[in-house]
Amino acid sequence: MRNLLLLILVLLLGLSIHHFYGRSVPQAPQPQPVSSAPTRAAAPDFPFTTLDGKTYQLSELRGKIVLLNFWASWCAPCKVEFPQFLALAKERKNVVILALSVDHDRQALEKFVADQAELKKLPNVLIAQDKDKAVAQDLFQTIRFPETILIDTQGGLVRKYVGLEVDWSSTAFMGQLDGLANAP
Amino acid sequence: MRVWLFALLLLLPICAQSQELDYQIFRTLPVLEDGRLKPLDSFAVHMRTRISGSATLDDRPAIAWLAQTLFDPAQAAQERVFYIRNAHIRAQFELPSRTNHLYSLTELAPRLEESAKSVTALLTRELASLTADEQDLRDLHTAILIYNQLLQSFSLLLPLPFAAPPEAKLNGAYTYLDAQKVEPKLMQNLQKLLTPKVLAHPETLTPAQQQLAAFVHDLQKLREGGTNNQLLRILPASWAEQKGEWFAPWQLLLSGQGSPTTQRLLELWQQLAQAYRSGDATRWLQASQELHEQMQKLVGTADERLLLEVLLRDLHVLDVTALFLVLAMGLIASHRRWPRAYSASLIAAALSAASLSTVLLVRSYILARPPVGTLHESVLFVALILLLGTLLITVRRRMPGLALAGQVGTLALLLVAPFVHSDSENMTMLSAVLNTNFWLTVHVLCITAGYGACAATAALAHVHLITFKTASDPHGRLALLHRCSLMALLLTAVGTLLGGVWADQSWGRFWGWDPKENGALIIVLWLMWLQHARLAGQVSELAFTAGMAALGVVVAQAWFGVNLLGTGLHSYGFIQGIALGLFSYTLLNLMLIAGLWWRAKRGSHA
Repeated sequence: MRNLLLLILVLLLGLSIHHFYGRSVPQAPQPQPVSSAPTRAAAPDFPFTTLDGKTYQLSELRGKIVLLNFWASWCAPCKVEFPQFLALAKERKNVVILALSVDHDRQALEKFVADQAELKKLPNVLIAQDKDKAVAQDLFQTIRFPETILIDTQGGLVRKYVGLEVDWSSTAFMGQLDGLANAP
Repeated sequence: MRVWLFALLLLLPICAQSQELDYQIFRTLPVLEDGRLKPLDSFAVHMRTRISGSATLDDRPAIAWLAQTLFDPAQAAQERVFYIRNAHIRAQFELPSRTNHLYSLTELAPRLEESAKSVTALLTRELASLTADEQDLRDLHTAILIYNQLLQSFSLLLPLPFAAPPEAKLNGAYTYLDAQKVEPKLMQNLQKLLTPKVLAHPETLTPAQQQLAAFVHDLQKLREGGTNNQLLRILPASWAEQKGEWFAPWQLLLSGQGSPTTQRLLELWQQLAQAYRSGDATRWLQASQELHEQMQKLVGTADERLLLEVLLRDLHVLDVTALFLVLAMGLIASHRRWPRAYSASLIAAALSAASLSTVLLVRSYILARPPVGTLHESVLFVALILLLGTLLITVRRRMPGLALAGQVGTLALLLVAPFVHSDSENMTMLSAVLNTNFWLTVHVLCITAGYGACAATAALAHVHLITFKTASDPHGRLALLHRCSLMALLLTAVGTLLGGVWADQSWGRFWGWDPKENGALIIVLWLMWLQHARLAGQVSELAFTAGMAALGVVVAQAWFGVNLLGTGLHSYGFIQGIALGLFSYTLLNLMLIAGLWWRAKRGSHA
């Protein structure tokens, strides 16, 4: 009995000492080694036809950073961010802006695009119609607009931006894209 | 291990069959509730208990009830699920009197809006200031709110009951997600229609135009209903920024957190819904299996915990524990006729202890924390210590009386356990203040082991009182009681001190005369007083024994009684509704001790 009591006391004492004195001294954060990009879920592949009639697959854009933007000409926030995308495309040629419009009204879409004079000078901005939301809703589960998905050079899904979350033409965002482009 | 658990689960011939659909896989799907991932089966049991007051109202398992609620809400609204015993509330809702006191949402609906107004006013008041009727009304509305959320969880992917206008081109059964695709176009059409002139005279709209307006309105109402629907969190976040978060279907879509992964998951849920509605058992099983596989990839090893939780419920391990105890008690009662019954009883008690340990260990593994985190678990742990303590003594010394007392005490604690926590079935996460695994292990285990040692000491003292004059070795028994009480004193004293150190770290003070702290101190003082009085010769052996027998009452008051006060910093332990039980136990035990003391004293005079 006495031995048992002693054992319990020693055990409790040991645990307490471990808790108070056994804690490791806080270490300064160690620089993380530059590792390869984390494994990301792959973006599903899909075909799309741009307004000028050329057909692509998303997978054909591998090797470039893609900003997959879901938008509509009737959506005011989408119109607000459109010039930012154009400014970004002008600055970063390794980034493709794939703007999929969910407009039902093709004429309204074409009219909006025609008003964007700079667009013709930017081959890295691709505009296509996703009339039945076959890509936006059925593949990417997007029902509210605008939403933009950042896809890395390997076709991996990096991040989703909902609404007017960032200024696409800001140096901060471009810095993030550069970091993504330079990641091994 | 996961494979074995899954195989075992599929072998169990349990509640899972209903309407020829196999719920075995479906019930293991993960859902986030109360801060932890749990199997859908536990969610179903918890929801049904919250809504109906019990998870076993009829022969139908809770998971089948949940499936109907989620996938066939129109039928579910007709089901009698609300338990309304209060006659005033029944009168308020103009409900007929029924023996089972169960009513459906459809029956409640006509008076719901009117009643909701009074509940809104009640919500602004303190719970303690509400009358019993008002509390019941508030609870009923909470249950209705929960039920409504469940009914609408999948309203985005179930067929809609209202007709679509022809220009929507939605032929046959269509869902909100189908309608959502054409909604912008319909909205544009409607906006063109609704000129100021038409708005002034809406009767000028043609029936087709009215149908269009009604349709767009219904879609908006449906979406509004889904806006705050966050109950059924079955979809894990896909995007790094939301890592660890889980979403309900509406919540995911409306917050823009959808992804190709969650799209696939929602498609599978839709397949489940379709299979349920058509009663297609093969399709149901396929969709369940595929969904389970997909979720397994996403939750990883957590899947093992989900399977264990379902198994723990299915195997009724606590019932097995109680059965072994009853067997042990039966055997010990017959040990005079059959000498081997004593050993057999100890074996049965050991099996019971093993079974109870399994419950505590599995709960600990499932919740990934030390075994005693709630009042319910503390009762189970004290029961285990009591059983093990008395078993240890009775293995070394032949004491049938103590064996029986320990088994009766353990069984009583097991029977009491569900009542000290209304939500004991639902393994709840810890309050933030308790969520420190080191202290939870050291302090709580130490103090509850102390309570268990006190219970064993009290049991021994009762037996000693009963056989005070007839025991063959009274001095040996008294020495044993003395040693048991020393063990109880050590554990409770060290546990109390450790609690002070934890309080110092958590709350910034060692001691605050909090009721719970005072309770623990009273146990220590009681033990110390009796020990010192005995050593100093101030109390007789009989008084010492009676005092130790009363230790059970002291512990009960310090353990449960202080929780009834509802004050102090130990708010995570507050309980209600056990006052009468506690008072009865205290009174009866004190009367028993007084009776035994009087009998022993009378015997000594004779």
